[in-house]
Amino acid sequence: MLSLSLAGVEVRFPGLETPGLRIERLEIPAAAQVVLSGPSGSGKSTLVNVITGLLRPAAGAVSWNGTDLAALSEPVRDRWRGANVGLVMQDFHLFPGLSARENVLLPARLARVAGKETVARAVALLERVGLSRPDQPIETMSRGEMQRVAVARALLRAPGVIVADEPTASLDPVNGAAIGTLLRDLARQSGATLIVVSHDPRLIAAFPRRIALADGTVSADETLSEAG
Amino acid sequence: MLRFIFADLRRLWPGAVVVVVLVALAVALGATVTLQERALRLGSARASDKFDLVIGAPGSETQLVLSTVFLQPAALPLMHGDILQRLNADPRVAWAAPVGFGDSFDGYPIVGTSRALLRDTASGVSLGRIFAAEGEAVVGAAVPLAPGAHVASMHGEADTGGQMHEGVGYRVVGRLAPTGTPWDRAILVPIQAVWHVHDLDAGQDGAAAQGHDQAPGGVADHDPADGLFELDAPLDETWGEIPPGLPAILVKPKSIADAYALRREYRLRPDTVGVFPAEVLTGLYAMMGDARSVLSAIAVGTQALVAAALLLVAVIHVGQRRRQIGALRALGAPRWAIFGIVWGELSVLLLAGAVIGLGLGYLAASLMAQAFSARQGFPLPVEFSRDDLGGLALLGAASVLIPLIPAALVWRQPPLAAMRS
Repeated sequence: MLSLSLAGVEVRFPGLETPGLRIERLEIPAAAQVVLSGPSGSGKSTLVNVITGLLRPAAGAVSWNGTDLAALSEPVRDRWRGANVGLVMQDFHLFPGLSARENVLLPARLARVAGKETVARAVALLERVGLSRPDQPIETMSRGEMQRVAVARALLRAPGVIVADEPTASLDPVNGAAIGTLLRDLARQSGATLIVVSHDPRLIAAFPRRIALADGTVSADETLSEAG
Repeated sequence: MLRFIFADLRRLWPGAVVVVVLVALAVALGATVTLQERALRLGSARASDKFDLVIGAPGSETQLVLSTVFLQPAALPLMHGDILQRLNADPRVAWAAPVGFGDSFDGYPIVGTSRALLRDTASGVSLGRIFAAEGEAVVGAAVPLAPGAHVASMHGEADTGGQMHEGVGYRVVGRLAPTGTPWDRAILVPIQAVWHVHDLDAGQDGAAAQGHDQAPGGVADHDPADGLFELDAPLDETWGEIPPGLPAILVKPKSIADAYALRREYRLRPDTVGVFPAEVLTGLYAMMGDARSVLSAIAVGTQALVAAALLLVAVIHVGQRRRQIGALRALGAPRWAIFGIVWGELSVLLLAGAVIGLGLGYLAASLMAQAFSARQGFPLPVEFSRDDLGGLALLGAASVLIPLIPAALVWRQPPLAAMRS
């Protein structure tokens, strides 16, 4: 649903000569499924931060369907991210003391956008990711289950883009594969653009378009005619 | 948001309990000081209310009040017995009652006085009747003796080496209704009996009594084997003959103007002094007020220390949860919501601590007041007053303002902190 267009983006870190990220041009069409890879320090995380509006680039435009994040103030970017980006992080960032359902609903509730249908959707999403006990306390869950909760949380507000930062890095291979499949299926079903950062070869192999980063720039951008 | 706050507090309950306890203890300290000081002031003022004018020999006015109103055992100088005669004949005086101290029974002071005082000041007799003969006694409401009980008389007090008056005993004939004064702990006997026990008699030259030592624990300077005391001797309260020397006379003036005139007259005499107990207590309160300021300053200082310590803990805690807080922001929670969580969570703890502390302070002050009442005989009213509103408002304000500091730190923290470093 959301297409991304980067132009002349540059991010610099204090004390470093070369830019942390420098991308002249990058287009990701709506509903595309893209994997970003590269060695650590190559700028993957910086790119994720830029395209989710967590980090404002020193120069350039980060446009989602024409909305330039680089031009928005921090609260507006926060609001935009909440409504349009489904974020899945390596460390889950689930909150102990709350149930699976409460965790799924927490960001929406804090943003005061959790109506009745959102609450119903949370339970449906948990079922969709394979969890049948929405009221199970989060701290009693396995890591694989936790990441499923995080995926359900990312999808709650029907985001236009799902961004997953190393979603399988802290999971065993079986759970990792399951999460990868889940993300791709859910993105396809909802029509959301899917951008995954990973160095997991099996996950990378599943994606039709693979963008490799090195030293803060795009070193390779290949699209296979057929996804694995 | 509340759900999240309570889930968080439940998870971190040991820390939360420590914070609440710290706040509660600091607040309780301040509350106890304030409540206890007020209780002491109000209680002693109310206890002295019933005593209009006290006439005594020149000396410490404070001691005169402490001895007559609060029955504190101490040596009082004596004045000439004819003062009682003069006061009784004075048209401005409703009644004047002599009081004599020095003896005790089982820790309760034995006070010699007249029937006039019992008739007109006490709230009435709850059991039996007032004394009518030399060997009869009436007990205050707080003395655990029933009519018919026998009271032996000891010069001074047992724990300071008192000495028994051999062969002297009173028969309790009545019990007074509570008056709310230290006199509730007194055993009241005819003053004539006190004189006779101490070998003094009306008609003796009052000056001869001047040497009598009223000090508790002092070796009695008279023959304990007594000849004058007779159990059934009738009471003469017309004071027709010059009474022996007296430590104090309680005077009930007919009007306020009479009270001031009498006090002035007896202050001008070289051999007497007249005091309004309430006025003397006011002077004492001024001194107690200074002590209270010191205690209050210590309490406020303690509270400031606790506030600073909690602030430190809160700032460190918020720092440790940078990533978690950043994650909430990254996931779309607005910064005001995070601000609200941090502020709300700490405010809940501080307010809970403040409320518990006020309760604890009230409880502590009440227990202290009870112990004090049991010892001194008059009640201490532990109560919050309008004067506390300022302090309470300040406490409430601090409870909701201090958490703004860590909340502001969180407000400034970028959501990027959630991501991998």
